[in-house]
Amino acid sequence: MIIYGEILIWLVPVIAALLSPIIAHISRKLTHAVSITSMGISMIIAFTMLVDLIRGKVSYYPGNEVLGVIPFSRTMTWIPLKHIIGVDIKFGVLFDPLSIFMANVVAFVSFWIFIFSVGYMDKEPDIGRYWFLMNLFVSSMLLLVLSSNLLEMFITWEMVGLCSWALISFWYKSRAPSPDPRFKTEGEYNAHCGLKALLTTSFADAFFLVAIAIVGYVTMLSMGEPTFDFIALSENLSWINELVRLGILPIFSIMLLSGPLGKSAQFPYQEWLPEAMAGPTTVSALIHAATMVKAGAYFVGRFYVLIYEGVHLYNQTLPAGIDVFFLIAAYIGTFTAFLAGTQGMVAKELKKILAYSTISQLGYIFAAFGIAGLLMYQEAFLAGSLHILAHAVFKALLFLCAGAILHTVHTKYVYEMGGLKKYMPVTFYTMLIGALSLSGVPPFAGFFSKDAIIHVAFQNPKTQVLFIVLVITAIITVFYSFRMIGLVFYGEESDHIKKLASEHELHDAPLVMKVSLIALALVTIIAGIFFEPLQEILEGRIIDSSDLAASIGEYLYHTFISPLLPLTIAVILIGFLPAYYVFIARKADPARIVEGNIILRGIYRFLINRWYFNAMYYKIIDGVRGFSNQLRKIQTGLANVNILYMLIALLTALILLILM
Amino acid sequence: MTSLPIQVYFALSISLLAVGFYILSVKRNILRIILAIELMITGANMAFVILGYWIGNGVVDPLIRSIVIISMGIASIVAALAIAFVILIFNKFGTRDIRKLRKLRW
Repeated sequence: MIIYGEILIWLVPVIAALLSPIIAHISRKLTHAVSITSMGISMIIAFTMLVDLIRGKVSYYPGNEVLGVIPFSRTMTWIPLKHIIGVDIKFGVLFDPLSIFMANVVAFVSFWIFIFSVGYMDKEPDIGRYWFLMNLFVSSMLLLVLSSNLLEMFITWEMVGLCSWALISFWYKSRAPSPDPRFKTEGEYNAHCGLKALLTTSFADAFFLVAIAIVGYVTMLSMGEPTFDFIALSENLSWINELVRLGILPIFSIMLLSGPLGKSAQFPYQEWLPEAMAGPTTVSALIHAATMVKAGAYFVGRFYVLIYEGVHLYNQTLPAGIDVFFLIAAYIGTFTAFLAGTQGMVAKELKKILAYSTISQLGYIFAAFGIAGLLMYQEAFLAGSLHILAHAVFKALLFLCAGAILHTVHTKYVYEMGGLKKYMPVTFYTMLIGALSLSGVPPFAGFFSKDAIIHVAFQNPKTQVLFIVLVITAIITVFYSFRMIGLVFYGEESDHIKKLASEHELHDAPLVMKVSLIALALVTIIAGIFFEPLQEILEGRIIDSSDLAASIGEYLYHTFISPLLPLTIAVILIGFLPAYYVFIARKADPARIVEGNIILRGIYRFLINRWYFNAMYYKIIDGVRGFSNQLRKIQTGLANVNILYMLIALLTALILLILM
Repeated sequence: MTSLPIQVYFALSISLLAVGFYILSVKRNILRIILAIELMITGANMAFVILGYWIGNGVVDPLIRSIVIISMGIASIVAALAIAFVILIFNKFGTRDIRKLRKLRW
């Protein structure tokens, strides 16, 4: 790693963020260049960290080498509060396989999204604000995955949420007609969507913060001093026993899990993510692939590693009862995977299909990490981590393809597309690769990781229920992936497309967009080969380069010729054939099939209304708002009345003083 | 100087505060409210002076005297500023009634 790399990796994007609003007044091209250069530097630094990990040694300064396979951190005191709250707030960077792996995923995917942005945002007047927020977003996420303690992580966690709010409602000035009848303009709708994301995740984070405070309390009881440091928490797992002794472990688990569930849009917080599509598509890609939603999954993985290393690296007994955290994570993840997958089957907007698929795939990751922690099963953890990587790459690819399509056809409804294959060949083939990877078709990246998750669920008798639901969800995934491809690229051209084609030539994406599409597609194709060395890195083993080829070959062989291979083929066929029949070959009219059958019609209505969760949440919110409106009446704004309140409060205080 | 008992001065101070409080909570005219604030400040200053006399063995403690003088200076500045606001508000809105000035809008 280069000197001060652990600071530069997130500081360079911050500097670029601060510079870009100023440079935007000078030259647009320079702004693009600065942002992409900063992201490139971050990517290179992340990559050097990975190389250090592969070599087995991390060196900060010449002559100061540390064994890379043991997690360690570099911290400094940030806010000295020792005399006030008994603990200094530390600021630091944690190096372990998981954090460096995540930093690489984030930096790599963000880099290609940034390059795509140059083409996608070419007509955007407010480019300074865009780059400011994008750079800040990515640097917060990099610092989040590298942060060495819970408090620092929470701060960056909220920074990620704040940036996502600003980016989702980026086009708040738009005067176009609103897609939702409740709002006057599209700008108002966008602002509402951003606020919905911010409020949902912040609501979840409130519980998360309480859980972090509980960690401080129980570590004070068990170790004599509050600590939030991941390594310190891992070295001494007695704080979990303290939780058990106090009898608050289940509540603590739910609270601690609440933050990740909110961030990753899992049940019951899943409703913000489909609305988060209001922002520019590059922002959606960033939120879904690299930053934001991955933070939640990362935290569950981090928590698993914390427990696992406490047991295996620091030789402690596994604290009883902590599996409740992972049990909830596994079941909620599996349920959400199914819930969002079914909604993806009927979604009408291109980006919403992808949004539902993100929620669904994150459900897989949560299920994998949950199973890992439930059984202390390293295979499941590896499968989940690799699915983070695979999902990051193919979801970024799919979103960027969707961005290229939206950039050309100016509509977001899939039923207004169709027949785009001949106009946009590059986008078609790259999007097809992304969809194949999402469906888990071999040999694309998604196949390896998803297959591994289903495999670990299958192997253990405890998780058979999860296995069944995950397989059903895999079928649904294949179906909606090909529905999307069919509706966008095949069939008759819609009236909208015909009109566009007659007015001006429908063109494929510009070169700068094509470059990143092709790069991500190539990674999707070949990533499977690197999964075996990545697994070794994540396990903290040093890669033996002599028999690397042999072990990769063995891994590929085992994955392809697994007992689940017939199941994989069956899943793909069951999902693919109806989608092919209806949406690609267009042999039947989907609307007529649904209308003709009363059960299907009921299911359709249930799914298109998002299982009525969204409506229910709005009902609750309206109830709270009604209550607040009543309560607001005591806030008159009259100075006289306020003085009276003051008088009442003074008298009450006086009476209390006398009574005591 | 044979003086009244200290409680009498305190009662005067507290009654000034009470009158100020009463005007603040009942009256609508901004000018009256400013006068009420001045009254309350006077009452508080008076209490300070009394306490300074009480601990000062026959003279008012010089520290407390200086604090009270600063306080009176600040009170006069506040009053001047507030009356300037009143003039501006009256020119702009044509009213001195605070109930009609509820919105922080222009």
